[in-house]
Amino acid sequence: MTKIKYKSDQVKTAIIALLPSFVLLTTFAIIPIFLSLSSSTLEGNNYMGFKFVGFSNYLKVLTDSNFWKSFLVGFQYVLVIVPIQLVLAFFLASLIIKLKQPLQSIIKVCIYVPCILSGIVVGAIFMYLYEYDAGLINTLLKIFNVDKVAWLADPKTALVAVGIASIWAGLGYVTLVMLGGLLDIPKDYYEAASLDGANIWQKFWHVTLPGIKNVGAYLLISCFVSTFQIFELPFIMTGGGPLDSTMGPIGYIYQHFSYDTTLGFTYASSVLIALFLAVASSLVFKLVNSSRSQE
Amino acid sequence: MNKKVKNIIFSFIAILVIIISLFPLFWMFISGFKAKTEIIATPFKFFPDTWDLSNYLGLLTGKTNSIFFPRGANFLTSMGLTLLISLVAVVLSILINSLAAYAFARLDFPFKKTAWLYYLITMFIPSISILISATQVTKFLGLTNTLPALILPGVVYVWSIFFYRQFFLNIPRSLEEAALIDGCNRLQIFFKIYVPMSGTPFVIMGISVFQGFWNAFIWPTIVMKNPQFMQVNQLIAYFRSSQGIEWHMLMASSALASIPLIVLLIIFQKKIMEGIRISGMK
Repeated sequence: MTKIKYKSDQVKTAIIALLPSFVLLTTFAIIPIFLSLSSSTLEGNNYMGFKFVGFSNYLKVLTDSNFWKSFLVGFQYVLVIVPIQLVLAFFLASLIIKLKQPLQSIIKVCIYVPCILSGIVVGAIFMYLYEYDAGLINTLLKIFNVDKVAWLADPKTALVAVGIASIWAGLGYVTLVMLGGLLDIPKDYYEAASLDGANIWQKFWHVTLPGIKNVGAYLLISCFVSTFQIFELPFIMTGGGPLDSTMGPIGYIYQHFSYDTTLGFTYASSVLIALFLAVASSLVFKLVNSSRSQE
Repeated sequence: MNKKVKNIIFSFIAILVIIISLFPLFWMFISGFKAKTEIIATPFKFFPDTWDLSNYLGLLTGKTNSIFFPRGANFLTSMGLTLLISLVAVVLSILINSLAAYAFARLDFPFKKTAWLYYLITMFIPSISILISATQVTKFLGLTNTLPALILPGVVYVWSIFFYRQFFLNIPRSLEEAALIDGCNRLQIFFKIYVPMSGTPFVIMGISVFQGFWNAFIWPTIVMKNPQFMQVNQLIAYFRSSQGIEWHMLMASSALASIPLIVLLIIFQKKIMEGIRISGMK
């Protein structure tokens, strides 16, 4: 092995250039990771002192039915939100491609407007739309002689109601990314398929779908991860209720953090959720990367 | 004919989608003009009987007729402070992350690969796992309830380092070689050659950082308990208290908090669209 000679001015500059980000990253990301891991094995609080308890916090979390319930709710959100968002985004992007200017540019900006708002603002808007007596949705239903629905107070409808708000807030971004994917498919592919006598379905199956595979996989993983961690919308719209039916994993952690005096349990649950998300996303990441290298 | 009909149907759907996207916002702005009693009054009225300015004016002058609003907080001050914090964060984020990206793109130094891995690893760690421990670190550093606590933890954003690095790698080396001969040092090269050429990536990332800080909720809620320094979204959430909801204030404050973002989107729409496209290539 030959030893690489470093030029001192480059090394010096590199140290200066990396120092601020290194310090901040270490302080607010790397150290907290190890702190989370180590504290999850402790029991106690700031007043009583701590003692090492091994994996017993993890055992407590894993045997807590509320933890699993929040996990289930996280999956329910994913099932309600992600497929609808991806399918709608696909159709919307296919529509936008066919539109003429200036409508095309206008719709692209308009559908992105909901995406820039904070979760709190989106939650507030939809909470008011869902309001029982004076909300716009129940008022519209009344015109069609449908009874009022307590959207956010009924465990049967609350999760779907929050999910609709989330779809509204996220659809624009997903659509625009999907649109980028569709635009990257060379037009000749479609022309060649037409020459071969392919119908719409065959074109979709053999040209469009393979063409948006990478973008689709990226969207699938990012939508899954962000939807599973949904927090602000249920926080403001339902506070996690009714009967914890809208409280996802992050809500569960937040609740323990706010009301539990023993931090070890909260740490253990956050490590478990992070572990699950990391494994899930790295699996899809691997899948995407392997299909990329085949090209 | 067939094509014409198709076009009309497509345009019709497009307009419907635009209405669905914008109507809830429009509704929020109108509702902010409704008085406390009118906003939940039945029978339902679409437009307010009298356009009541007091919700908006109250928020902007610090005289809110709210019983849930925290004592000592002022919505207008909070908007100013949140704006200031977001802008400082944008500047710091661009500076610190692009410097790091420059080192990784253009400089040779020992343990470069290890360092790069050290940075990249944090991209795969869900922020939730470090949320609570980062709170403890903030407490340990004595930063709880201070402005730096709102800014510093969110400044380093490895995805943006990744993005800048990619951009810097495409800048021809010949430019910096000429500057080296002229006697510039490496840091000067960064500021004189790389920074001026990076307008587009800086704007794209800057907007997304701004949005993140302006919309921040969970982190400020945990580390900032001083009402004078509370962030906009934190204050909005007070109007939805466990004792009741002040709809008129909730709508008016949400509307005010959305204005800067809408203005930003209108001004930078082209760059934002470009940024979205790039994020899909991750």
